[in-house]
Amino acid sequence: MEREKFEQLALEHLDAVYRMALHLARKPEEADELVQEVYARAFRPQTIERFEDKSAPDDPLSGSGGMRSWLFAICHNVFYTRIKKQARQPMAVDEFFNESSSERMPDEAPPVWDRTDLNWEHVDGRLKSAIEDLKEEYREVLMYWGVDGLKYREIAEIIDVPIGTVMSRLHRARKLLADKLMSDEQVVDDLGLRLLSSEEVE
Amino acid sequence: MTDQHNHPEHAQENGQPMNIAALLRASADGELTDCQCEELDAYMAQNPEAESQIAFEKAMKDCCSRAMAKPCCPDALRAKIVAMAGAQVSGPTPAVADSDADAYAARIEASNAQTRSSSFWSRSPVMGAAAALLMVVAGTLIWQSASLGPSSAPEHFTSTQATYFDRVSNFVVKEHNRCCDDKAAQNKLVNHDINQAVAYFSEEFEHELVVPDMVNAEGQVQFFGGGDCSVPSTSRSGHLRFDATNPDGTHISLSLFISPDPGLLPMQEGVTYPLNAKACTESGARIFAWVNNGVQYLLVSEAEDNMCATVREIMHAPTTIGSI
Repeated sequence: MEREKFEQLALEHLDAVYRMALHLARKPEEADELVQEVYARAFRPQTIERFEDKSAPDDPLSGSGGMRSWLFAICHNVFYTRIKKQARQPMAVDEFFNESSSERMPDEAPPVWDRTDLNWEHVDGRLKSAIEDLKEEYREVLMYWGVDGLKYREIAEIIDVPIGTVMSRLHRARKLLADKLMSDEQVVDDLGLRLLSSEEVE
Repeated sequence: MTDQHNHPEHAQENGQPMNIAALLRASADGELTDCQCEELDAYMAQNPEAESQIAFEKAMKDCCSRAMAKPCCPDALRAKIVAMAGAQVSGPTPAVADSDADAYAARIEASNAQTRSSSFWSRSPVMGAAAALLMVVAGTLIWQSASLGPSSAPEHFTSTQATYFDRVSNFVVKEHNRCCDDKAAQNKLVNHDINQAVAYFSEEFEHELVVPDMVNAEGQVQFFGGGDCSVPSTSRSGHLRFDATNPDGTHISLSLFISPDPGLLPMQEGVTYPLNAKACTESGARIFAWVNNGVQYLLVSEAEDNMCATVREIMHAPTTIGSI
């Protein structure tokens, strides 16, 4: 691909890459550094020569292998390489078990929602706060899924994990958010939510 | 069953049903196959509430999208990236000094220069396969060399401890012998300032290393250099070489291998342990091991006791000698 075209295409996704970097790093200054490193890597001459846009011709955002997915993959790799370098300390036992359980397959059904015409705007603030409390790996899949509308398979390719892991992380993330909302009685009342019993689920 | 089996595609391939929760969420995400749609329809016919569960998931997705959709890239950062690209693009182009952006780009490029070019092995599938085969053969040979013959580890060691004892002893002795040669040492032990070397490894290990006391050792032991190493079962490790002269005038080298303690040798802090490994008998070297502040120290020396003691003293090794 020609350099000028490549750069233009890459810059079109700058907002999405920055958003992802910010949600991963949490701190604006770290997100800045992350984005700069992503683009510094992307703009290397050898990289540009090798890059092949595999997205659908009529929709640059679709499918895997497109510029956006490719930039996300670089962002993911750079961020987690830094994390690994920074966190070479033993993991607490309870954290270890939480980590292990996070990869289990979802088996709890979503809550039942009785009202379809409710305005969700007023719970956005609570949700935002709950999202901030999620671990990076959950926020990351949530971002790809919720904001960028990526499919499970595309997310799996970007973060280089099995599809089932994407599903379980997504499930955990959604469940943590739902639990957070459900823990607020006012929200539960407002939304008309209730959880199904296990018998009902089966 | 692995979690992957429950993915819509895999579940269908394997003829296994997805659990209902996964089916509902996959439906809300538009990830169901035709077959699974039928399965879901059948379920929903008996469980009308499922529709509201799917609606909840969709609403949650929209809500997440709204909550996470902002912010956009700040103008200053955008300007830097645009400057790095060197391309004229449409959209916001705030003013940032070109020289700053160029300097940043140059710095990034320079810092990544070592990893920029693809490796020789990755350029062709055949070469990649050959490299993989070579690694398997090498791994097998290493494993065999480590497994064959009786272990020299203490009898009360577990098999894991005994294996590590032999591996780490062999490694440090061989690496010590290799780096007694100045040419090999110069390639590996590139840091010749002991304080810098200690600071470097303290940062790498995220454990404070004991600062060596070279002042009192002046004239007896000199620091040759330090560099990265690959002590078995450690993610990062270092090799420090010291030079000394025996009373009879012969020149000798001592190697100190440092790494975050993997905990595979039963050592207590405050005690120095001689490791009577087979590798030592064969090479005439001796190994002393100790742990301090989460860092494992392995000293290899062919020197006399007093010389080893001097280096241990420099490194603040415990004076109590124990049996492992």
